[in-house]
Amino acid sequence: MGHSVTDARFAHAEGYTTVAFGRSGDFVCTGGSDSLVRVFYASKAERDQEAITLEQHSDNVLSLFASRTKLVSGDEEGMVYSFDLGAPASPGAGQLSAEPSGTVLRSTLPARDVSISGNERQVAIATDDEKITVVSLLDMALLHTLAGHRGSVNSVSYSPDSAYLASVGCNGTVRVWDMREDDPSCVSVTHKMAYVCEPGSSMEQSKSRWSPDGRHIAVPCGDHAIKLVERGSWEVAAELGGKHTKMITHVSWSANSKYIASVGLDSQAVVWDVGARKAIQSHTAANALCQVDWNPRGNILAFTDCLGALYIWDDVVPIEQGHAPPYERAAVAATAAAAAAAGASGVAQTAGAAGGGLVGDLFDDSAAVDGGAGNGMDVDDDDGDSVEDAGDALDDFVVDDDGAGYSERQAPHQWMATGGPQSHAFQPGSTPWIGNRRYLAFNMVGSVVSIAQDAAHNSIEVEFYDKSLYRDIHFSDSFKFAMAALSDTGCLFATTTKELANDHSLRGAGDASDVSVVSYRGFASWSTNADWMYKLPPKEHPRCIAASSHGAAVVTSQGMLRLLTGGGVQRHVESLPNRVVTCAARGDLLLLVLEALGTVKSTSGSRLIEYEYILMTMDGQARVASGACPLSPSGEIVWAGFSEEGHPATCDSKGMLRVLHRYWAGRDACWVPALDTRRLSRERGKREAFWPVALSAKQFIVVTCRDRARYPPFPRPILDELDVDIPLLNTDTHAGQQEAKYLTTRLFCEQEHGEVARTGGEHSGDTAAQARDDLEQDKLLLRLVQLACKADKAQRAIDLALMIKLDQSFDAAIKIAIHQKQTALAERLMRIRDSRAAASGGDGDGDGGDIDDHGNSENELHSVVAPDVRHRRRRPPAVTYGQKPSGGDGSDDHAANDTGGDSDASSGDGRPPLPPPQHARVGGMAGAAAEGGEARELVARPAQPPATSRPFNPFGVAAPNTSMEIRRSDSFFSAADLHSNTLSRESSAAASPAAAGKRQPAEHDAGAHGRKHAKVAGRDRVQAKMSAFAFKSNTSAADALEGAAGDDSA
Amino acid sequence: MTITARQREGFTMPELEYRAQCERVAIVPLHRMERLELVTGTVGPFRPPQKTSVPLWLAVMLKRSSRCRIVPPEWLSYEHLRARCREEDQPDSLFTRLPTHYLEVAHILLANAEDDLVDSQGVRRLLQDLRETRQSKTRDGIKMLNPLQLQMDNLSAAEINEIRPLFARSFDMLRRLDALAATAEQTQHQSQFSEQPYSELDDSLGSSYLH
Repeated sequence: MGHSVTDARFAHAEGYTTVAFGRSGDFVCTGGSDSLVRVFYASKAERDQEAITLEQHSDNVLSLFASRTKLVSGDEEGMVYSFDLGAPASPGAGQLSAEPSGTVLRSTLPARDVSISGNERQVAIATDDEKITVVSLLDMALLHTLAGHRGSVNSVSYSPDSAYLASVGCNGTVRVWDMREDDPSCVSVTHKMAYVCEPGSSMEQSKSRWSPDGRHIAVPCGDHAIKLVERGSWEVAAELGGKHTKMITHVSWSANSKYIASVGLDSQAVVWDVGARKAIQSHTAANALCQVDWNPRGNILAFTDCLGALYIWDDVVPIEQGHAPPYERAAVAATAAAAAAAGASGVAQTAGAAGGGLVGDLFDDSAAVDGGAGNGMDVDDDDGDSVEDAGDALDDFVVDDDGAGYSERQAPHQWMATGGPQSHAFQPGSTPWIGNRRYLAFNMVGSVVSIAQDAAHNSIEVEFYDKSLYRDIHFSDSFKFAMAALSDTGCLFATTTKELANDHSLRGAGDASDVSVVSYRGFASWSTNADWMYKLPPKEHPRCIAASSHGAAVVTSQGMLRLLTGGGVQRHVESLPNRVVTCAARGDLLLLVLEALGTVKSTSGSRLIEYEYILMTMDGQARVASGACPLSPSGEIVWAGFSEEGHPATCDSKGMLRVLHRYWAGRDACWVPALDTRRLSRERGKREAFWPVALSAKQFIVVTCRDRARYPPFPRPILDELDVDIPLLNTDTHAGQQEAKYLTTRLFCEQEHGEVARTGGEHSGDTAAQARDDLEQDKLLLRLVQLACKADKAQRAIDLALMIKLDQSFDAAIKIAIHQKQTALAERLMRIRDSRAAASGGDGDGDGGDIDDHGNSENELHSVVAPDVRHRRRRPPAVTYGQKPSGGDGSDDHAANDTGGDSDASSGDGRPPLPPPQHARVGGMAGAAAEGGEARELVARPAQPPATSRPFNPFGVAAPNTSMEIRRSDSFFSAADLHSNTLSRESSAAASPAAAGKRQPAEHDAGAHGRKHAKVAGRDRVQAKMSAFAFKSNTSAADALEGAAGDDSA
Repeated sequence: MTITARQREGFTMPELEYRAQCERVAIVPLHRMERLELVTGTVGPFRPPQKTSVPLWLAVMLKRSSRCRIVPPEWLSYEHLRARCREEDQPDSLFTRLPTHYLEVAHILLANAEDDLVDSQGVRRLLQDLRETRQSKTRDGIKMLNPLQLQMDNLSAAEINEIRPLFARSFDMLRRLDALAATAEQTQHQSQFSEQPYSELDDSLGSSYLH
């Protein structure tokens, strides 16, 4: 290591110190906390000469940028000044001069970084507000304000051709702006790439820099590595890491983009060979280092430390060991010529120098492309193509190169294709550090907040919503817990490594000891010592954790799923693929979300993530469901959890909430999109982001983040409730909204029964709940039926009616049809009702197939016009349902085929079919018998009314009082009191035994009557039937019967 | 006389606040509670942390016993009030739309639940601005008073209350004067055609004054 670093030259007072080489390489500028900017001679001979001192600033100088002719510096009070540099053309050729040339910007906030564009026309300034200011250097006019970062901006860097600007925010977001347009737009946003650092302290921020060849941005990132972001695709092409142990504060590219120098808080200055992707030199100083810069014309580095000292490192790259020099030989060989050729403008000076055409052997391609650079300004505002061409040509050049460059640059793509870096696990409801606080968990029970106190410990605050049940918990946390899972019975904490926590600013955790800790605090007050703590084996660290009333789950980096009880008993351990992304628990269910195998790159180059889920019990004894976990295109899962009722749910980064429907049914489980929050915020017309917290009783509980914030603020904000709204079509109409409401209700109603089915619990009170839920769903359906009737959409009404579950609701649907004067519809509905009755009442007998489809055939007509006949099961089987005269199972299938939803409603909802009543079975036999066997039937008929509550129509042809009855029904029913029907039905059922004695003779008469008039036009019959129906509902059954008997006898 | 004593003197601020306490506000309960059967209707159930809507008086009562956090209504946010303020400051603008009891509700919330408001100082300042702007507008508006009507849309309860004594009296006086003028005109008109003795006119005038 033959490098030599000069002794510290204390250029400034203690504090953050900046450094920048002049582009000609013969002077170096520094700025520091004594509010001075000094300009030193860089060459060895003149290094000890007195520096020029610029006393423009009145506060700490935080940023410096030296271009060919300008020096721009910004300070803590937000003043940005520019200076004209009168640099000598060659070392020692003349006196160095720097004259103040104006105030570039007066900001109110510290100017953290400045960057002059390659054409020296613009300067971009990053200040502590969220915007980047771009000012013209010619007339100091404000050109643009680039808004987009959330939180203050650390760093700005122009691409050498001035086409792009890269900026890094305190929250780790890297943005690239296209500066060629009049209104610069953000072309790339990468979240969480760079360090998440604290705004307000330059010392704890890091700067990114664009390579002089314009192809890469070097971004110091959270795991103390430098990521090289490729121009164009804006993806990480390479990563240089493993050297720094603390935050990298600054990076600098050598003039030929072959080397990167980086300095960090660990006092190291490291020189990286970009082509070989390894560190070739390093130097450890005494103090944390602030900034570093390469001499563009020499093998020299300058860096500064936090005490204000400037170090110069000569002969950085060991050229004698075969390394290429860090500067361009061309540039050095032709300093004067190149400088002259480059003139007052042009692209990056290096390119300009290459364009000077002196070194054809190495740079012929780039020279050809950038040959015009000497003319200046060729790569101008709207000349995007030429820039891209330049990039391509440079790529070619590199591929052809001898290995000093980027011959392995395809490599990163390869490892991406083979699975990529291990995905980051996350805890639902956790946030990164916001200031010195961070939510570790946030759900409907409460929130867990970690507050950074000092190097040794954090403090944890567990705050509940229901203050009557729990008392808030505060404790000092010396383990530095990085994750927490909160349930209503206890809280589980865990430490982990920085990599797994996806929390780069996690201080100290995992550093002190490599052993992770899992700790549980029970909330139950009756038992003492309900808390437990376990140490995990070395190298096994929690990836994510979950807790519920049934215990705790820890997924670790060794692919272990450890299930424990609330008391700390280790109940189950199993090995899982090491791809778990997150987990959540509720009651006895544990939801694991895994990254799917074969995660692929999309054609557009972005990485597509696919997920799988596993739903299992908290005791590890059973898998409830598993399968693929759907995702919006190019999204990723950001939240997973359970609804209050127990539905597993996920939310992805595109704002789509999905609920696992019928999860208890194993293979039938499916993800239903329950809410599109993006659409919601679009409709609201506000720029809002919804941060998911929980799902509860048809409502999605979120924190509404305004002003581009992404995470809930401190103190804990008030939660907002978004109604679950299944994204259906046509929701701008009333009918569409009702449909969505119906589906939502169904989604959440069925859950309760499924849960009972899954856990095998007794059905105590289940039937009542079932009836209530069914009624609720039917109400919505009836409203839809009414809308359909009003709109004259009979088929739609039938489809809807077929989805109705309860018989009385079906009757109500018929009444709606009658009320809306939809006679044909009512007729059909009545037929369906009768066949429903037969299907549910006579399940297993031969006439399951008598459900009439909606087709128009004589058979139907027959079945309609002779209701009395049908009632006695005297229809000839050959006519109506001759296909399947017997066979219970077959008839069931047949019914399902015929009517779809209808039989679903009766047989598909899990209810036990009602036992076939006596008369039905008898009727079935009679149906199989030959027509005309009337006497036998009458004998077979039971004396008691049927057990099913469906009252039959005893007077099929009681035509005379038709008109009156219809009027009555018209006046009586309205859509609102449809369910009064239930009441009247009950009364009719109650009255029927009393009327039973009378019924039989009346029936007999009616039957005879019916046969006699079998050929009368169908219309009258229908009316008669309707009237009977309406009548029955209005008056008691006994009255009806009496009336009918009277009619008949008359 | 059609004006009651109450109308002449207006309500006091506490009375207005009492009236405003039936307004509903959203709260986040901190304790779990079942449905409350109140005379005016049922509220709840209270399931933290889900919001529920309760009358203001109940919210204040719960807040005082730290059983809830009050969710300030949307109009009581700094942004919303600033927008209203700007609207109000527009030249020739009418009164902006604010809830009828905005002053009372704001006063109650600022007094009892200041910690639940975001930027309560800013809100207070803006409310003060709004109130002053609107007061000056009201003063301008009352100049338009005529015997038939006075129209000022979106005036809140407290603001109406402020002008009520003045308005009631002046309106009544104007009306009477107008009636008198009409009568006088009529009599004059009649007197042109039929000689009407002055004494009758005097009587009518005198009686209306006495009245």
